[in-house]
Amino acid sequence: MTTVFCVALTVAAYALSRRIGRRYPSPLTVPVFLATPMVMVVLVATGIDLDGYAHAESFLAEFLGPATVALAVPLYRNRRVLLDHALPVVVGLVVGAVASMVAAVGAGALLGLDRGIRAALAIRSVTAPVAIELAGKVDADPTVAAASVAMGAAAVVVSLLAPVAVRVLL
Amino acid sequence: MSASPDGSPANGPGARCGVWATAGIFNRHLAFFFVPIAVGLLAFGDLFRESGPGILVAIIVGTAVGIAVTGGVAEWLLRIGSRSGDTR
Repeated sequence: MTTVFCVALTVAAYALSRRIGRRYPSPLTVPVFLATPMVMVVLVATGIDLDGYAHAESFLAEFLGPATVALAVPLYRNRRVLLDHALPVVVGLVVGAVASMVAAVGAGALLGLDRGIRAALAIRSVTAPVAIELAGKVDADPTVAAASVAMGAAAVVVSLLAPVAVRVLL
Repeated sequence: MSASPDGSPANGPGARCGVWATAGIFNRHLAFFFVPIAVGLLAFGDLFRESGPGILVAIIVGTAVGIAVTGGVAEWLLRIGSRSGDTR
């Protein structure tokens, strides 16, 4: 029963945040940033602890797999452009991914973060579903925990900053 | 070949089993599936109090470097390619 409520709550918070985001478009009104605290507030107010929410979380996180695979469709649609520029695309992505990992881990080391967190930062850039699989291989439990932290935090931060970053860099 | 409103070919590959439509729903609402994971951050209050700012900075640096280097390298290769004219 709690699980059904939690799933419904998450859907409702997302729908509401989308509506708000459409009326007031801003990095601050993106769903992850807006819906997450909404869900948190309701959980606290109704006294549902995270164990109660955990079932809903793992159920919904299950769909991250197919959601990631679905990203193949826009790629397929743009296959002309991608194939025409195969070399710059592939080399750019590989070098960029490695640079992103090195930068995140390097910054983490400079800031004195634990090994587990640094490992989580390294795999963060491969997107959540793949990273959760990888987490088990890189190290045991603490990394999985840290990975979900890095992922969740990254989802919030990136959804917040991506629109700004794209505008600045392009 | 006619096209549906989302620009996918109505009789292209995957049209009959609804791949375009299904993938479209997932792509449009991708952010939704990250909300529960972000809510799960509540469980890591201690960790955040301890190393939250560090994690934040590392994520921002890693993401910014990733975007900049990917774009920079791809653009550079495109420029060389078009100058020598041997890559399409």
